[in-house]
Amino acid sequence: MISVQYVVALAVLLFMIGAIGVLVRKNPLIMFMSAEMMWNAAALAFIAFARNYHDMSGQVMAFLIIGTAAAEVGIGLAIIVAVYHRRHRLDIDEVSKLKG
Amino acid sequence: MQGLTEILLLPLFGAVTIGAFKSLAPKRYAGIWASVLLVASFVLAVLADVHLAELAAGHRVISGTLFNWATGFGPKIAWNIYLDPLSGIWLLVITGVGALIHIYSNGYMHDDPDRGRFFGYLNFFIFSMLLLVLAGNLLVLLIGWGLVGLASYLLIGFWYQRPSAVQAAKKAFVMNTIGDVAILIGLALLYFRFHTVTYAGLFSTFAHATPNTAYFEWTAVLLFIGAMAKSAQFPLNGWLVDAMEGPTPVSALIHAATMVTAGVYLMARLYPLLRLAPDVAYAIAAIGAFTAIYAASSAFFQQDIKKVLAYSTLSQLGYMFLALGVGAYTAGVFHFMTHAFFKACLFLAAGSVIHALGGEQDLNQMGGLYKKMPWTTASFLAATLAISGIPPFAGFYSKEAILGQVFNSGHGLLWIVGVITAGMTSFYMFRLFLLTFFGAPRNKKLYDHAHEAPAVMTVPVVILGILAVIGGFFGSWLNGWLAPVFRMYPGASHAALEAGPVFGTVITVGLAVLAFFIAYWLYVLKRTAAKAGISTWPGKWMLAAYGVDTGWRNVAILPIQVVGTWFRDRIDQGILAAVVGVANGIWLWAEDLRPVQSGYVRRYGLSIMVGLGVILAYCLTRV
Amino acid sequence: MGYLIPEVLLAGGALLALLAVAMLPNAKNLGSWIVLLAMLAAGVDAASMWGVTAKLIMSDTMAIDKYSILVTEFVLLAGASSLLLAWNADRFGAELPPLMAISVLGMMTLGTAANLMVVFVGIELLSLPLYILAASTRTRAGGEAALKYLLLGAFSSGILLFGMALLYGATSSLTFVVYPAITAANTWLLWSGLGLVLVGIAFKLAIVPFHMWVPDVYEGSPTPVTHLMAFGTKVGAAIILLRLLAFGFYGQDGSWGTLIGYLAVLTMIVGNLLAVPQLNLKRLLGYSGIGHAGFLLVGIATHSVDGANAMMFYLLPYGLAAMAVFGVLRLIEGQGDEVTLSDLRGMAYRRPWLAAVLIVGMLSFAGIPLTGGFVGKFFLLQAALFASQPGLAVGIVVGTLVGLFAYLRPLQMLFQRTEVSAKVQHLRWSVAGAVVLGVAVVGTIGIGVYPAPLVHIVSQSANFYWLTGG
Repeated sequence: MISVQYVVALAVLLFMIGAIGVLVRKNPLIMFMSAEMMWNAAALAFIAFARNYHDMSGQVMAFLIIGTAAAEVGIGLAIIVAVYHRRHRLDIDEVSKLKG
Repeated sequence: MQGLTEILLLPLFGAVTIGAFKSLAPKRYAGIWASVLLVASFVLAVLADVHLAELAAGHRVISGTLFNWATGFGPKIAWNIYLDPLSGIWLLVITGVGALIHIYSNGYMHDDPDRGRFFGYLNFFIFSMLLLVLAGNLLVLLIGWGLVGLASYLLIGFWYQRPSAVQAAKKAFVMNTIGDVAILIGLALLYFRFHTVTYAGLFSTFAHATPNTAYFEWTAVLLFIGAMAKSAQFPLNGWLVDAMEGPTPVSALIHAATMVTAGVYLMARLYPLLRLAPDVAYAIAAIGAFTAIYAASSAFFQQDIKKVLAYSTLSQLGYMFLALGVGAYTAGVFHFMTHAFFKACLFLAAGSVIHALGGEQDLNQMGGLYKKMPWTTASFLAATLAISGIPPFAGFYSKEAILGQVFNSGHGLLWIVGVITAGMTSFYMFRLFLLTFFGAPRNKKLYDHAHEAPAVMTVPVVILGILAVIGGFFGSWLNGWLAPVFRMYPGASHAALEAGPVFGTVITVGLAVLAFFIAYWLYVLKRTAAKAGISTWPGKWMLAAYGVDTGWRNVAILPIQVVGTWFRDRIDQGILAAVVGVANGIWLWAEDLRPVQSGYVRRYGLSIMVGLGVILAYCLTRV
Repeated sequence: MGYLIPEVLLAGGALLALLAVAMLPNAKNLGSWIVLLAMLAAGVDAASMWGVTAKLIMSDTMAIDKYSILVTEFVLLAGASSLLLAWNADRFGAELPPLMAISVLGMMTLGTAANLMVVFVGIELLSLPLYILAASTRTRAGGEAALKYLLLGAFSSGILLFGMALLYGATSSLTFVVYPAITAANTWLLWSGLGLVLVGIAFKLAIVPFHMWVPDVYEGSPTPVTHLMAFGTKVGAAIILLRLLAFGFYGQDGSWGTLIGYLAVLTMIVGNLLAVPQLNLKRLLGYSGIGHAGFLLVGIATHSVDGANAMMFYLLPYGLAAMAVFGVLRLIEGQGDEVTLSDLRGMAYRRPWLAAVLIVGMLSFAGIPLTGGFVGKFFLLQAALFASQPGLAVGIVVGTLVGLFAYLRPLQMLFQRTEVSAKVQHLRWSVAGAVVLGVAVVGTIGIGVYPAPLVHIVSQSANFYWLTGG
């Protein structure tokens, strides 16, 4: 059986990849995907701890995350598409009219 | 609460109803209504004091809560009402003298088109003042304190068509605000240290505190600055003389009998604090003595009947502070009481004179009025004898009590100042009396039209005159009455009245009598004019009160004006120029920060990550 | 299980409204009426539970106590006022009322949360409808606001979730109300988890340096939605942060208290400072909201009952002032989405009553005596000083003074005599707007003059330490 530390380390790695992705990519779709990766890293960590403690609530939380992420993707894609319709380019740095 | 709520709320009710109906009801009803309410308030006040007297000596306190202002978060703050013998005295004077002055005003303001507004303000003032003295904690006291300042501002500027009245009102407001801020800070210091503002809570902690620490000295200084501003002690005295721009009943009520003694009340109330701040107590005595002699000498050459009285008020307030400073609390309160009688009488009598002369206040236009106004003259004489300290009139007893105790407590210098001031008082008061009522009429036309005031004005004056005669006999009663207050907490071991040395009395009375003869010789036998001597240099200085007002102008107001003008020229803004200057500084700073908000989502994310890094670093140092 | 009836009522109302607007697209305001009635019913039902003995329900995941009930009432007020501000305006879309209802449901859920799972559900339930609502006018600025909010929201939720995972790993439980009973294991897992969760909630509450989305999103979103964000989101985030820290991490206050204190001072000053030069009023209110979040944090940072009380108290005057100001904005903007300072010119002469409402709201924001804002700030100051944290008190004073400039500038515009702006000239009153403004003004002045009843209610509700050990 794989020790919990390794799984959590993987989750931390995933989380950091996701976070860096949000910070460096310019395409809103990719940024959104990166954010979803952070969510999934958390889900992974939950499952790892749940197995370690033989506790069901972590598993439940993972399902909740998946469900909520699905809802968020639905809304997110709609918004991104709406913005794309108006600009026909997907570059987040161009969406910067509101500032100051 | 033994009618305390009613006593407090009747004048407020009056102010509200007069304000609401003044344009509907006939004008004279406003004055009658206001007077009736105040008389009712006075009767209730007497009943409350009688009830207080029936309690056991150690428990003479009636307290209650009107409503909770805020409970639950931290310490409780409520609208506490608190009546003990000390506030009982003030209660009687405020409602009693106040009622007389209200009745008098019915005659004095008879022809004023704005009578409704006047009586509304007057009732509002009485409410505020009652709130101040009936407050059960310092916060309510401060609210009353602010409201009396507001009422005073409104009444000084009552004749707002006169620029001088508006100017005087502004000045009073500014100087009082200095005091209000000082009290607020002092109160905050007390509150955040002791978590309470009630008298009982604070004073019982004070009983175990170590005297003479910086904390207590500073708190006492701040509260004393508030008292100084309200009671016009040097150097915050300028506004009181200018406040004479208000109608004369206002001068009698607010600027002689009641409001200006609020500082005396506060200091007497805070005697446990003064125990902890002995240096401040000494400063109070010294400032009081200085104000007494300074104001007395300023009164020497004044040409305006009300200004002489204003300076004499300052001087007498100085005596009261002198008493408080040396720990002679009962004597101070005693002098407050007699002063309220004779000074209110003097002002109202002066008001009758002004009324009779069609608004003339210049001493150079008066003279010989005793034939025309016998009642007023007699009352004025009684009050003059009282303030001059001639036995057996009221002022003699209270002034002797103060001076005796100053001497007993070993403040030799202050005692000498007090004695000399007593002589000076006698001189300028008899100068005023003789110039007004004796000698040849200086303005024949005004003299011919002069007449005794109507009964509605004369009767209150005569009642006050009688009180000025007999007020001194209340001394030993007052001593017993106030004793429980000053025994309740440590700090007032010498509060009771004490007899001074006999030679002191002889000197004081001797000086007063001598001063009377000098005044008689100068102004009746030699017929010196009122304005004699004002062009010589001491006269000039004394007339201008040694330029303290000008000094304030030069030291405080002018620099602000110069800076203000400078800013106005630069930024094209009005009086708020300085504020705008600071605002511009903030603005520039903020403008420098704005580019950080770049509009780029990735920068925002970076900001979050940086914050996260800092927080994680912080958290991990805690492991 | 009668304790969740308010939530059920609101969820039912949202679903019904969604169906109704789909089936009867021509019925004006139908969805709004349904949701408004559901909110009223939920409010009445929640109020009727006031006497309930505090208890944990749903396998210790939710807490029903006076705290949760008061939060319910606050957020329902926020929701109802936002709904009224959007009344009769078709351009926001027919789905606005049900979406608002769902967002309010999320805030209510946060009030009852005793478990990290519920916290997460509450925050997402709160945020997801707001992403849509921000773009509901289909303007360019609205799209930008929604996109920014969405991306950063997802990002911060990721951080929040990962923090929760680490907390779960450190304590083996998601029910944070049992954390004090678990022996305080000062492990790096616990602390980094707490740090991440803090960031996630601080983002929603708009704490510097996690605040940057706020002004942009406030400016771009429709005014009723901005109001819901300003009032409702702030209530939801603040109360869950308070319950989580002050109860879940009761023992470790020495550590997080200082951190929150620093964040509070930073937020108060930066938020108010940046509000000063703003010309767009909604943007100004965004920064002002950041500043107020700092004031709220003071109550948490003191970690005392006084502080918790003061923070709970502060929420209502803040929300009422927001109602007054956003209500006036909504009336001025008419068919547009933007109100700048110059649009206020001459209002004091042309629309004196409306100008008076704006003045009351702004003065309450600024903390001038006789308004609720002053009383709220006073309690915070008192809590800071009683907790012997003079630094926080200084922060409050400096923040308030800086804020004064920000709030007085719009008021200065009201009294410009030179000309009356076109928007003020063409302004039209609406009944719904008048209701919101009336409640706001009466409440603001009422709390300022006589705060005792609210103090009484708050002091009962902020006492959530009954949760000892679940």
